[in-house]
Order: sequence, then C-alpha cells, then structure tokens
Amino acid sequence: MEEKLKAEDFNTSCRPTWCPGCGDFVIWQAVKVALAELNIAPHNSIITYGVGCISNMNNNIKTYAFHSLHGRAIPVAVGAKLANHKMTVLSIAGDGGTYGEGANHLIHASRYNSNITNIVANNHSYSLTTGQSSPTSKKGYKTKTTPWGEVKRPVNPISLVLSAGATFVARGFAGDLEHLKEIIKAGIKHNGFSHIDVMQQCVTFNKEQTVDYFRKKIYKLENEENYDIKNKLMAFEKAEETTKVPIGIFYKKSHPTYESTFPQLEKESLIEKPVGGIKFSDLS
Amino acid sequence: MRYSWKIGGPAGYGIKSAGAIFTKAFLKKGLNVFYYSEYPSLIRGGHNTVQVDISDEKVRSSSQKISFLIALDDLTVKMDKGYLRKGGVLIYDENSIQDKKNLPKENVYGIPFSDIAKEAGGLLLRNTVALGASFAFFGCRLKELEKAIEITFEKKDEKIIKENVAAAKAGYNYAKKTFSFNPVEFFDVVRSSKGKRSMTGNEAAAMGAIVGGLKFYAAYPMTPATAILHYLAKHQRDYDLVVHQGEDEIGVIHEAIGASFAGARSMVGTSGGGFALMGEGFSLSGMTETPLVIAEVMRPSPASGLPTWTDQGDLSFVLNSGHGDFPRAVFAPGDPEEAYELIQEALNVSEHYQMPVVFLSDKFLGESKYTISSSRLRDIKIKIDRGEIISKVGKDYKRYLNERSGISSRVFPGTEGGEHVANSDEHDSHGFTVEGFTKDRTIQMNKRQRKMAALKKEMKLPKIFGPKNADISFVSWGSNKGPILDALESADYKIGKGKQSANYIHFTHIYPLPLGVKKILKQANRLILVECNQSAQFGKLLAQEFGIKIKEKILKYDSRPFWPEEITQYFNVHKIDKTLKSLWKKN
Repeated sequence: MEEKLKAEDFNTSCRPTWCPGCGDFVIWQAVKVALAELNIAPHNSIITYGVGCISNMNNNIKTYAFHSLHGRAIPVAVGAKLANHKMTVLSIAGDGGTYGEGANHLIHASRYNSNITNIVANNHSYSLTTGQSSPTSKKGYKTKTTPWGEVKRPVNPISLVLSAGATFVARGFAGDLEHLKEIIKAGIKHNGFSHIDVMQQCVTFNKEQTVDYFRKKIYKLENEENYDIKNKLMAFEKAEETTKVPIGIFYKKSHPTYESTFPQLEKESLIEKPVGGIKFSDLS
Repeated sequence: MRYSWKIGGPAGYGIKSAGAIFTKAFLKKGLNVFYYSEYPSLIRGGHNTVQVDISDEKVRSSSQKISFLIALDDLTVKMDKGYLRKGGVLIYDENSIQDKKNLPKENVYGIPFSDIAKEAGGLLLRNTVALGASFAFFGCRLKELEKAIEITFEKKDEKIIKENVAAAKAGYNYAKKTFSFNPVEFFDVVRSSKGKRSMTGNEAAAMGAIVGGLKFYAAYPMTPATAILHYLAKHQRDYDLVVHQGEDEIGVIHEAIGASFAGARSMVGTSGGGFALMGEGFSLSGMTETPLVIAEVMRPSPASGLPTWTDQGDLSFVLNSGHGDFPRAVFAPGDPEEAYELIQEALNVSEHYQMPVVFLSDKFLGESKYTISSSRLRDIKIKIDRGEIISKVGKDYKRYLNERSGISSRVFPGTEGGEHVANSDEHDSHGFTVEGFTKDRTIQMNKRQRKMAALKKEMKLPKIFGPKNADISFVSWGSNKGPILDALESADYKIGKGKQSANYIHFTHIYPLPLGVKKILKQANRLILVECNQSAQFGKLLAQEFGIKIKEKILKYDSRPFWPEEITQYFNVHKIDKTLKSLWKKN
C-alpha cells in the first residue's frame, strides 16, 4: 500500500525568510497540506510564483516551481497548463503583482477559464519593497508613498474576478489554516479558473489590518442560510459587503476549461505528442 | 527579361485579390513572379497597391520602374505615374478618374472599368475587369486568367467564380476591340510551371516551424507578423500544436515560457512594439534558461511607426533587449527558403542551448510573395534537436548544474525526482534563490555565458554570391538579399562604369557572429554596407565584434524596401572611391 503523502513531504532544504508571525506561514502550510490530502505528489504539480514576500515560497515547497517576474505568475501557469494539462497547476503571488502589475492577466485567465488555482496573499501592502500602498490598500492608508494617506479606492478582488468570468471565486483568511486549506483543496479540485484571495496581515508594515482586525471582521459564508454559490448576483452582493467581510466560497460554476476547448488535447497532453515527423509535403 | 505590373486604388477595391490572381496566372505560365504590396493601416480608402514583377529569370524584388500601371483612382495616377518606365503603359478607370489633366501624355488608355463591371455583375468586379484588360494588352490568352480566377476562388461560391470570369472576359474583349498593342513577347513562350509556387516569408516561417516540431505558439495580433498567427491558428488541429492568442504581449511571452518550462517546443511572434513589451520576459527566458523562439517581423519604428511598411531598424534592439547580460541568438532570413530553414535552426538552438532566440524578419520578406521551388524546400532536412532532456532522474538533481559547456540537463514536470525551481532570481545549481553575497552569482553568470562559445562555432558564415575576389563586396543581411541579387545578377556581377566585378556577402546568422567573419571582411577589396535602417545597425555590430568599420554605406529608411535600381544607381551617382556619402544620408 502506498504511503499517504504528508505536508512534510513538500519541504525543501530551504527555510522561509518571512517575518515571525507572517500570514505567509499559514498559506504555506495550507498549500502543503492541501496537496498532501489530495495526494498530489510533488512531481505532479507545477507552482508558478510572482515576485513578493509570498512568492519567495518557491524555495520552500517541493514541486516543479517557476519563480517568474512581478505580476507574471498567472501567464506562466496558463502556458504550463496548456502544455501539460495533466499537471496540477497553481499560481501564487501577492496583491501587488496580481491586482496591480499583472491585473490584465488575472482578468483574462478568468475569462479563458484556465484550469489553474490562483492564490493571492492579500496583505494590502507592498511588503517586500518595505510597505508601500497596494491596489487593495484602504483609503487613508499611510505609507512612505502615501504620506498623507492613500487617496485611491481599493480594488475589490472578488467582484473583479466574478465579472471577468472566473468559475471558482473564494476568499480565505490567513488566520484560519483549516478553513483556508479546505478552500484551496476545493479550488484545486474545481475544473476551471479558481481564484482564492487570502486576507492576510503584514506584521511589519500594516499595523492596522492585524489578525485580530480581520478576525473581528469576518464571518463564514458556509454558515449562511440560503446562500447559493451558484448564484452570481448573490456572490456580487456578498463581495460588496464591507462592514463585515465574508470568507469562504462565493461562487462556483461548471464551464468548459480553456484546455478542454482544444480538440487536439483530447487524447493526450501537448507534451505527450511527438515532436517532428511532419514533412514539407504534408503541409497544405 | 523583366516586366513589372502594378495596380492601385482605395482599400476595398480588391487590389490585393487582383494581385493574387495575377500572380497565380503568371506562375501557371511557368514564369517567376514577385508580389509586393503597399497599403496604409486602414480598412477603407487610402492608396493601396500591388506590384507584380515577372521574369523568365529569378526575381526576388520589386523594381522601381513600372512597365504597366492600372489606376482605379486619381491618387494612383498622382502617386505612381512618375515610376512608369519609358514606354510604360497606364490604363485607368474612365468612370472614376476625375482629373484627366494629370494623366501622362503617351501610352495612356482609358477604359470604363466601373461600367463594364456593373454589367458583369457588380461594381466590386472592376479589379477583375482591369485584369482582363491587362491580359489583352499583353497578348496573353484569356483562358490563363480564367484558370487563375478559378483556383483563387475555388473554396468560394460558384457564383463568385462565374461573375469574375465574366468580368475578366468583358475587360479583355473591350481592350482587344478598342486598342491595339504589341504583345509582351517573353510572356508567350511555353514553359513548365512544375514545382513552382508562391510563398511569403511569413508562410515559410510558419511552415518551417511546424516541420521543426513547434508545439506551442502564442501571439497578440500585430502587423506585419500576424500572418504567422493566422497560418498556425488555422492549421493547429491538422499538425497537433496549440495556438494561443494571448491578452497582451507580456502575457504572450510568459505563456510561451510556461509552456516551454512544461516541456513544449514554444515560439511567439510579434513586431517591434510587441517585442518591446516582451522585454522582461526575454530576460526571464535568459535567466531561467527556458528555451524560446521569438519571431520578430519588423516594421518602421519608433513607436507605432508605419505599421504596414518595411524597415530593419530593430536589429540593435533585439541584440540589446532585456535587462542584464545573458546569452541569446539572432537569425535573419533573406527569402522564404531561408525563413523555412532558419526557423527550424532557431528552434533547435533555443532548446539545445536553452536560451531565447530571435528570428528577425521584416514586412518586405514577411508579406511579399516570392516564387519558390517546392523541391528545394522538400530537400531542406533539419534534424530536430531538443537538447539534453532526462526522463529518469538520479539522486539530487541539479537543474543548473555547473557544466563545462554551460548546458545543464532539463527535466520536465511530471518526472519523479526532478522537482526544481526555474528561478528568475539568481540561484544556485538547484535553482534555489541566493540572497546576499555568494559565489553562485559568478558561477551561474559564467555558466550561462559559456554556452555562447559552442554556439559561435555552430553559427554559419555568410554566403557569398558572385565572384570570390571581387573589386566590390556588398555586405548586407535579411530581406535586402532579393534586391541586391537582382541588381547584381542583371549586371552579370559587373557594376559601374568601369564594369568592376562585384559580389554579395549575405549574413543570415547574425548573432553571435562566427569568428571566420573577420577574415572574410578583411580580405575584401572594397566593402559597401547595405541596410534598411538609419544608423547602419549591422555595421555597428561588425564594428563592435571585430573592429571592422564599413565607411561606405547605402542606407534606406523611407519605409520602402530597396529597389534593385538603387544598388546599381549608386555607381552612377558616385565617383568610385571618391565619396563615401550614401544616396540617402548626408554626412
């Protein structure tokens, strides 16, 4: 009998470099446990990363990993999945890369319905560059680049990807490992673009949005009576709530994945196909 | 013998399809044809032309002088009458030309194209009426034109073929009845058309890529590279590849990098502006050693430039693009045959050496239709080389192992024990990020750069056309090959008043330049650099690599390709060896 995978099987020889108390530790653990519980062996998944605190996780999870550029975790994942749709593909990055520099990729990967799981460590700050305001920072947020407080309004990640066409939209919380892990598992299992925004504290630069702050603010969607995750309008309503903030799965819909729309990928993945063997005389 | 036929009119008048039918008809006659089109970046109106040069010998350029011009509007008369050669013929649409005063005095024939077209089935047929009239003037048989119409529209409605045939016939009969004209004699010789076909550089690149084992192509539409995307998109199911139109060029290059990382032979296509957006991804491919081919089909820049015209002004850009020092290769084809071959070489080099490779073409090559021999392309056989890929991994796999060759083996996702990080951060041999000061930085920088030494040996020396020890050697690259060879061949490789011997040194393997180049250039008696850009970018590369400065230059950057006449004219304008000034650039 095969031994069951454990979170430790995904460890590498490198230790994380995050600040003590950082939410990234929880996300790290949640991803490892999710992969282990789904029995996805390290060599059968690809994780792409952007650039930022969370994206340094490339050194700390043993899978096939691609540490790309700031904002570019998603397109690398989209391409990898097209080349080998038999792999489990995740992209992991922060709020700056995903909702700022790489927002166009987020919109379009949602629209393609690429079968990847996109996890965003949303700490409302550019922390690796010492805490500047990010696309999700609250109005009034004071940083080195916003000495009088942020004047721009924050993007709403849930509404954004809902309208872009993502077929699995969820929000997790880095203060609740068990809950987050279950969302990640559901996201990986979902056939289509799964977007998981993870509310997260930055213990070093964001003194306002702490773990306690979030804990008081959140409630769980799965405890809501009559909430229908198939109802997009309901999802939009929940996404726009600000006083209390729901976590859990907002929306889930069955829709053909991008990869499944290529009939040439029906029998085998692209990389299983022979390379070469076509002659000039074969071409029309 | 060489004859050039040109048709001009607003967009929407069927200028391109008239050119395509004309090209087919003369190919079928066993002649060689070269189709070149000029059009503005708009869907209706403007000045659109197709010029078809016909020859019983090789032809791979558009000549400056026109033998036969069809004007469907006033603008064509205004823009093109000056290019008519002595004795050249102009036929025009009597129904639409307003300003008759503008017409040349001799060899001008008005035909009511529009009226005849309406009678044959509709105003849109006036292009075909003009084709019919051309054939009457040439003394060619109408049947040949009808056949070309049938081939062109074979996939369309029967009605379309019928109407076009009727329009061609009506134009033919009108011209035959109304005018008398000496037939073009060399059109009349019976020749075999076996194995001849027309092909653009873009088609050749797409076909070569498929034969070369391309599996993943991503692109964002951009003139003049889009035809590669069109071809591959259309045929992806037939030849088992995936074609992805991405959200923007930044997405496109990263999607291709992701696919390549996962194990698919990958390529992207764009023009200068799109490649500018790909800059960071280009560097990422270099750093992570992820193979990638970038087909860059140039148009005049900076910025949006002239989207539908031609230029070679992106050479310095591709040579220097991407932040940091990392190895790369650049190939530039001179005709479809070379495009077909070089794209395959580019794919091999990208995977063997695990680096980004630029396939540098331009609008002139990409969109012009050359006459090529199918058997020549059939004979090009390049073995697919995917480089070192391991499928069984031992203990402690190191993706970036410090090999002497600089090439570390690759392993694709899905392979047990091969887990690693392809890392855009500087990394150690496993791919783990290195922070702070470590020797890994220098080790990995040197490892990557060492790949260039072997590649340099593999890059091919320039081809020399014409006599070995010529008095004059033209040095150029890419699509200038056509006009230069047409000029030299028509002069029997003897040029200028003194009939000096001349040859052409044609570069296709642009970077890294092989070492033997220096010897070839040093031995030449007199070098003349020919480029379609303002700052002699290839000349700068030769100076940088070998300290060879070519002072005599012919540089054109008015958005048009060279005419063969411009190469020969150079010697009429310049007293040999006295002046170093070029035709187009003062100082």
